[in-house]
Amino acid sequence: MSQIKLPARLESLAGALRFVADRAAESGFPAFRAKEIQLAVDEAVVNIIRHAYPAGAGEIVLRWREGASPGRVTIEIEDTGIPFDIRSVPPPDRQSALNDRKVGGLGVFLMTSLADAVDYRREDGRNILTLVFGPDKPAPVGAADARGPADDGWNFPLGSMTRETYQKGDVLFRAGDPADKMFYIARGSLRLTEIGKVVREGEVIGEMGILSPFQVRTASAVCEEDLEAYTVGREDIVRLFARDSALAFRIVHLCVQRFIENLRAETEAKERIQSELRIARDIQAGMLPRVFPPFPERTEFDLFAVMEPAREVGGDFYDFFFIDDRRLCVVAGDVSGKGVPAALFMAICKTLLKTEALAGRPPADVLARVNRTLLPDNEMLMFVTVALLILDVETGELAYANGGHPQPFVSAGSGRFAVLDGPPGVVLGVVDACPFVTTRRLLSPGDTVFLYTDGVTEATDAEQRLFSDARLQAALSAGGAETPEALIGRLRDAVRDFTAGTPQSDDITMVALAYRGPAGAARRD
Amino acid sequence: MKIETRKDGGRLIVSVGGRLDAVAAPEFDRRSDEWLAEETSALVLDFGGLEYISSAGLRSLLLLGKKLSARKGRIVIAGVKDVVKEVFVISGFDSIFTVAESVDAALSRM
Repeated sequence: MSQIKLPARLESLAGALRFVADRAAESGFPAFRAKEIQLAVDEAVVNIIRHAYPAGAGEIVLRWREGASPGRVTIEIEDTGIPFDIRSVPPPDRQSALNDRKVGGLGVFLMTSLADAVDYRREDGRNILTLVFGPDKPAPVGAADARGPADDGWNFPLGSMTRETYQKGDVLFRAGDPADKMFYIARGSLRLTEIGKVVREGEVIGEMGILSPFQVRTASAVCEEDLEAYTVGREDIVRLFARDSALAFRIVHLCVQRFIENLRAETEAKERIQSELRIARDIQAGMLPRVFPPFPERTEFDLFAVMEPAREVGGDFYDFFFIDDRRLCVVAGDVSGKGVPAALFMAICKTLLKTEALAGRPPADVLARVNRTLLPDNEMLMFVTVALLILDVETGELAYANGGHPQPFVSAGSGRFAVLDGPPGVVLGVVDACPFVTTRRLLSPGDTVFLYTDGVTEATDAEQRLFSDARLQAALSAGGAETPEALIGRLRDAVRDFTAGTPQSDDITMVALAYRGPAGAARRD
Repeated sequence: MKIETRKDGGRLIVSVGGRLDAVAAPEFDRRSDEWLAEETSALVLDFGGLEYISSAGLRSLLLLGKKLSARKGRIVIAGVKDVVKEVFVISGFDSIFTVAESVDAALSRM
């Protein structure tokens, strides 16, 4: 990949085109094709110079990327100017006589006519225009003698085909329509609207539909200039091939070429989505505190937590923070849904909960206020389940409330874990009622609270059996005196052994808080 | 871009060589105004040496054509070839301008 950066001024045009001409020569493009490539880039670059930076200076980045096959290149032209999708420029006036003729849109039209494909995207404040040039571009009829003798046109038996005419603006076919015939354009031109590609005199379109098993059009075609076309349908194509096998070969070759180009474009798009999901997961994981021990100077408790995301970005989260110098807040939550929307909603919920908790409110009030904040503007009806507790590390008093979340477990010193008392509340974000209740109990040194999400209890094995509440309770209680980190480690192993390789379908979150007693009286195990 | 002019009878023959792109267009516009100021009524644009033309060049050409037509002048473009010819066809400029094979052919039309 070669790249050049230039200031967006007219003086840079020569340098930009020299860059393109040099790369084209190195890549072995014939002289004529190299000039077409220059021209397309010229139009794109001048457009940026003229319009992208109204406030003043700016830059243009040109990238030349060799394709996988020889004689194929993808050129990216990038600027950080005002958003502008070059594909939105309407086609120019090519009908009026000299005196009435307008020039608007000609540059863009030349660019899209000369390139095999044009793509645009806006990313991180940048306009990125992509031009693709392949080796095989049939010449328009008018310029036939401008090309070398190596170029021959299509030799269709027009007499055996169906003649069809279309007027400018007519729709030849729409994406999704059954693909029942192939077109040879004898006169005029059409535009494939979804990809901005112009098909002109002497070119073939629609062959993919006939030859592929999919049998539907992948793009829509609109007539740009009054069109005369010759068509052949599925039934007759075989007879056509039988008559002229050389023609058949050329059609199949063209079809395969286009299919590969489409596949490449689709793969690139899919890779873009995958990398977005990866980024979303990194953001999600980055939001959760992951340094342990989080408060090393505090001896009143031990705390450990894990969140293991499923393959897709999920919505689990946990959080812990001091409200004041003696009250520690610990939260576990689970946002509905998967993917980037869940991750975004999770970030909002986590932040809201912390904000309300830091104001010193009791757990039930925190949940109620967050619920009321989430309610409006929640068209997608996303919801979150939350278990929130506040531990006074001086006194051992634990206050907690539940919003539709699996109720946390607590061990009462004996090592046996039991579900905390208290009403289940309701999920946050959908219902106006706020039936949240703050329940209090006193922890003794040695007691451990365990919060988790349903990714643990709903983990499945190969026979679709669930890990379940019962198994979790049994696994929790099976340990002796152990640190939160050891407890969670043991539980992770238990879940992994249970699922035995079955893919994880939901985020798994576990938080363990062991109370040691007030500072001074604390003993460490 | 190189511009050379000569007269043949009452007709002005302007040979444009090199590239008529966004950088050269302002110069072409300036020269166009000179030719118009000289009361030119029959103009042959010899593009035999023109290797390259972009939409900026087309714009200048159109402007010249309109101004000349406004004063009932005639313009013929001679010798377009290679990628310049392709641009003329794509843009439809081959239908709004009279295009001739050579300067002689152009002169014989006037």
